[in-house]
Amino acid sequence: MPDEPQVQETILIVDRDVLVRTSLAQYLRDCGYAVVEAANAEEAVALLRRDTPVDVVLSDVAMPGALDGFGLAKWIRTHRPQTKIILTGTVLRSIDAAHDLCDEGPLPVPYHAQTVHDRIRRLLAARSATAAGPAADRSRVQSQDAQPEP
Amino acid sequence: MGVPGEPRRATARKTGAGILVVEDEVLIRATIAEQLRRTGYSVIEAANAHEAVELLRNRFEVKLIISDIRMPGSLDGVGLARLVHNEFPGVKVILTAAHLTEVDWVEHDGFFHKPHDPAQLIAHVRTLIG
Repeated sequence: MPDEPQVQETILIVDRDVLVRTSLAQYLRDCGYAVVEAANAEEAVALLRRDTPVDVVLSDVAMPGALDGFGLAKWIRTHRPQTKIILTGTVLRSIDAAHDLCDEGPLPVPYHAQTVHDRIRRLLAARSATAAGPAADRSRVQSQDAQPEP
Repeated sequence: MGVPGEPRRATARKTGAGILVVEDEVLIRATIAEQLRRTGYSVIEAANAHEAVELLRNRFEVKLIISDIRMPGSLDGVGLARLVHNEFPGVKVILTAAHLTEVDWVEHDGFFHKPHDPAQLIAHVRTLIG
């Protein structure tokens, strides 16, 4: 067999913020995972209904639309019970979860999770500096930086 | 399978020219992105033109954009193509649409009527960015 992995685990990232979603997806791909992306829970359900082979769903809790992360988790437990779901309420938790996945991934961790954190923080800071946006987005990283993890 | 006792190893992710797929229908977007990744390209995704602009303005590496024309929001694929031509002149743009058979009112680097033949799309991508 040439240089193709025997089995490649697939992670579905669900996050309303394209900068966060893309950064995490790139990190997890660098760790050796196949990654599928959804901008909201409805997109995630559409992908899962198609029988896209997904091993882990890494999802933000707060999302636009009728279905949030909790609703998505409930749907997955009902329709795709073999799929593991990780819910995160902040960007930092998303990064931590991605780092844990990378630790278990098929490839050596390509760079420290702090690099991902710094990158996302710079991206979100640049966004808030150039355009007004939802305060909730900007506070996703900042609030966690100000408070210790429980 | 590897040597017994050794961890299963995957290959490093193939890297290639950056492609941005812009498509509001997630199944189409995921399919196009996956087809391009299997060919060896590095692909990022946007669910609409606004997300695409955000990625571009935040310096995600993009050499080619494949964008649907009809998308929700105040910016459609045509508007995105115009913006890219003005702000990111080195980035090539392929437009796709189900409701049109050609596009001649905005500069672009290819047009594909949906549903398109994946092999033809990939062949055209190769001519544009290698």
